[in-house]
Amino acid sequence: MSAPLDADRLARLLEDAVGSIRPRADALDSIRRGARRRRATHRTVAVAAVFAIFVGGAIAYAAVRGGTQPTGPASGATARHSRSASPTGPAAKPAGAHDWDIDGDGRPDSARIVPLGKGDRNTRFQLVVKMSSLGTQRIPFTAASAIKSPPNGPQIVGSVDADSDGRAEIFIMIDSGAATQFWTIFKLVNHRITQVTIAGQPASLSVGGSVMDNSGFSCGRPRGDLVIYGYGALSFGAGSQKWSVERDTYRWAGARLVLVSKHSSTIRASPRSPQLAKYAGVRCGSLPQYTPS
Amino acid sequence: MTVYLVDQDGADDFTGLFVGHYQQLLRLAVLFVGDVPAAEDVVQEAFIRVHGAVRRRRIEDPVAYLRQTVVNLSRSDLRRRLIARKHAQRAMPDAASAEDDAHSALARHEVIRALRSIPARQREAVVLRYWADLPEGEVARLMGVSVGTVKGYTSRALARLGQLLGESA
Repeated sequence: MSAPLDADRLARLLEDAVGSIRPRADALDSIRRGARRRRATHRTVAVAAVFAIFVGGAIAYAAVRGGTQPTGPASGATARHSRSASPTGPAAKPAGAHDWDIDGDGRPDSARIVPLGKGDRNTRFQLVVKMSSLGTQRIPFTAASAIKSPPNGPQIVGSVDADSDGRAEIFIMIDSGAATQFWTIFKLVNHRITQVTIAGQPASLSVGGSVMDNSGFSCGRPRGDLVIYGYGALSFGAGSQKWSVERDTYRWAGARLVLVSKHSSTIRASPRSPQLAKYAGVRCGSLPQYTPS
Repeated sequence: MTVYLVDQDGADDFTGLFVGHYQQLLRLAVLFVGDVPAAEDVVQEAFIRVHGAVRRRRIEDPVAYLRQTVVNLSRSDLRRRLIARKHAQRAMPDAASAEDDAHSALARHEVIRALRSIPARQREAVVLRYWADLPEGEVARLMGVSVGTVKGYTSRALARLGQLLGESA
């Protein structure tokens, strides 16, 4: 005959089971990145909604006036709008050949992206890297679909030697919102092109933002480290404002980026001050800089 | 090496919320969904939802909001995974990771296995009442049921857990 479990004993058993579970080291960063991404998506949806209302109004107005529907201009405006919805800063270079030295043999190599699925909702892609010394390698990866990441899904941003090892890494934009992009990195490790990971997950560097929050990264110094930084407004009013700023330093270990230091603090500065600008933009060779506009 | 998990002047409310409550909410979600990675997803989503609102000071009690969101998302996660399990073969992993080891260790706990085998509402009730140590009224509010129903759930859950864990009378 079994007796009901004593409540205190149950509490102790449950605590024994989960008491050793600790947060992952990057949990807070993941949440902040997710929150930034969510805000960027909301902004994109809001802009698209306003635009749809505007176009609908224009069509209705033209119909009421008895004129021809402005289909031509509206299509053109949609295309321009799609491009302006992507983050400010220099436009990412279109996918295609990139004459950078990925295998480190001194000769130019190239890379391009091929979708593995069909349609605008496809999220599976393949990076095809053609190297002069190692031939062609194809690496599958996941990115936001073309529908979510206008105008064309993932794009090669550039290829620079970020870790100063004599071989260029490939930077690819895998997702974007109204003001923020997310970039991943591929690098040659043991003769194989491999997607770089942070804390066991494919690297996803947040780049760009708004006047309220922004982020970016630098590479190369010191010791080839990759430094990821960002800021967010804690208060926003006239004059000097309060900002939360973060700077995390990662060291390369093969295809992994390992967190070696983490610094966050609060500063007072105006939105345009150089003190704040240190925590935004990309400073990594010839990659687009994405300095706050 | 410089490591600051909380802002130096303590001014960042969100960081304070994370440091103060993330771990406990993660453990709560683990007890609901029985799986560390899924629990991390649930709690991360809850914090993302509360993030903007905390920065704009729109939530009076962010901890209560977080707890409610974790309860709701855990139910959604369980439903989603039950459906997925019916329709999809689980792929074999290439190699065991550290997370897999942690997961296996969790799964080996007898009480976790027993907890998984009782109805989800009973599980929620006993975890919130006895592990989270919340008053019956608060458990009822979180679950969206009456206090009497909570009493019924906890009573049946304790009886069933007693059978499963071989408690002798």
